[in-house]
This record gives sequence, C-alpha cells and structure tokens, in this order.
Amino acid sequence: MLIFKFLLLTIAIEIPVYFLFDRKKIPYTVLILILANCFTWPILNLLYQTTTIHLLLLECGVTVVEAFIIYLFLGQKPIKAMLISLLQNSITTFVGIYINNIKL
Amino acid sequence: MTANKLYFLLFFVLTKSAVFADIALQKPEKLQPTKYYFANVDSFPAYRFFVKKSVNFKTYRIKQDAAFLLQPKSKTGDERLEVWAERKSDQTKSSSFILTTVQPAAIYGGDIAYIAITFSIDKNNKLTYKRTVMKPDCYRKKEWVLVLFFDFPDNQKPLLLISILSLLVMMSLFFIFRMKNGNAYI
Repeated sequence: MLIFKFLLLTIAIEIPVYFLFDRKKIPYTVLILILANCFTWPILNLLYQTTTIHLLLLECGVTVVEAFIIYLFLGQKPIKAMLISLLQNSITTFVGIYINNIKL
Repeated sequence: MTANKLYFLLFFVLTKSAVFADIALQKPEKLQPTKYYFANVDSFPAYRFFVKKSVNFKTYRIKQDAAFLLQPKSKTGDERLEVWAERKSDQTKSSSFILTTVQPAAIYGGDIAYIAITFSIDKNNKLTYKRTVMKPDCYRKKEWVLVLFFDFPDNQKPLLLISILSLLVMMSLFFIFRMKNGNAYI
C-alpha cells in the first residue's frame, strides 16, 4: 500500500539522524527506532486525518513520545533524547509539509 | 569523521529521495452535510423566496423556518442551493446566491453543520445574506472524545493495528530486559 511507503521513508530519515548522536548497539537501536515509528506514525496520521487537531501539535506529541522511547530503551539522557527526537521529527515534519503541500 | 560524512551523505540522499515522505499524509478535502435554515422570511412580506436544489433541479418556495439539508456526495456531486427572491408587486427577481456544503470544522460541533441564513434586500433588489452557525449545546463536550472510539475509515484500520502491535512488542522488550537485569517485579 502506498501509505506504508510514507512510513518507510519516515523510518529511513529518522534512523540516520539518530546515528549522528550515537552509534552503539546498531541492530538493537534500529529495531527500537522502527518500533517507535511504527507506534507513533499510524497514530499521528489517524488523528490528523480524523480530527481537527493541528499537525504541529500532533508532531509535538510524537516528539515527546519518541523522546521517551529513546530515553527508556536506548539509554540516552532525557535532554539528549528530547534533542534527538526533536531533530528527527522536525526534519520529517517539514519535509512532509513541503512535499505533500500541507497547509498549516 | 569519514563515518560522519557518510551518515550525512546517506541522510541527504534519503531526504532528497523521500518525495512522499512523518511525514503526515495529506488531509483529504472533505465536505460536511450542511443544513440551512431560513430564519427571517416573514420579515419581508413584499417578497417571496425560492430555492432551486441542484440534486433534482426542482424549485421550492421558502417559508419561515424552512430547512434544507445538503449532502456532500450525492449522485450529482456536491449538492447546492440557489436562492433568490421575487417581489410580489411586479414579480421582478432579485439577484441570487448559491449555498453549498461546508468544510468540517470544530465550530459546527457535530456530523451536520447547522447554519441559519438571514436575508437582507437593498433598494436595487439585491439579495444578500448573513450566516449564523447554530451550535449544539454539547459542542464543548464533543471536542474530547477518546481516541479508541473514533470512527476510523476502513482503509486506515491496519494503521491502528500496526501501532498496537508495535507498542506490545516494545512493552515485551522492556519487560524482557528488566527481567534479565533481575529487577523486574512481575
């Protein structure tokens, strides 16, 4: 399905961004980041499609959840986890906004 | 340093190729069923008011508090109402305007948008109108509906399944690692 291409591309962008900060336990990290995206991306899209909640607000929620996952599973300090997640999601959000012509 | 450069290169290549990419999917432009009420017909005793429905091309005379429901997806596409007035004395027609279905918004507070139309007619027989959104009393309560009870479209239900499965796998991993470290209390 076409929509899963979007998920794969999101994962493809976010994993390299994480490795800019830390390159330990690569297979485990990749697994956790894939699971994190498989958890947050569908919820983001379902909420975006079916409610009137603003996209940037939804992305803030995704950023916090992914930061918590990075902190909990990948052992990063909370601030660093937040920074990584913020960078990952800022890039994917704005690439998505630009490519899909989403009006904010 | 070389590895860093490689990661940067990989990242930019992926970004460039991510032409579809959290990339949130584009929101489809949906329209909402809309019910129009004509609130002040009796205020113009010198005029008769009419509507023509695009769905059946029939003309109806509007009476005070008449209501018309427009559906966004009928057989003939989005339904519309053409509205005009006619002066009783000389049967001259006023200008007309078109009412359409509206885009969903929180202000409508439900599945159907209820809008009241109040007419005004100037000396040149020009018909204008003002819209007033009629809010249901439960408007504020409806903003906070639990996610689990949303009516997701059928083609997006696999997304919810993926999300739930990923969460379960992550929770399993979490408890496995905690058990390995010997500090699990389950």
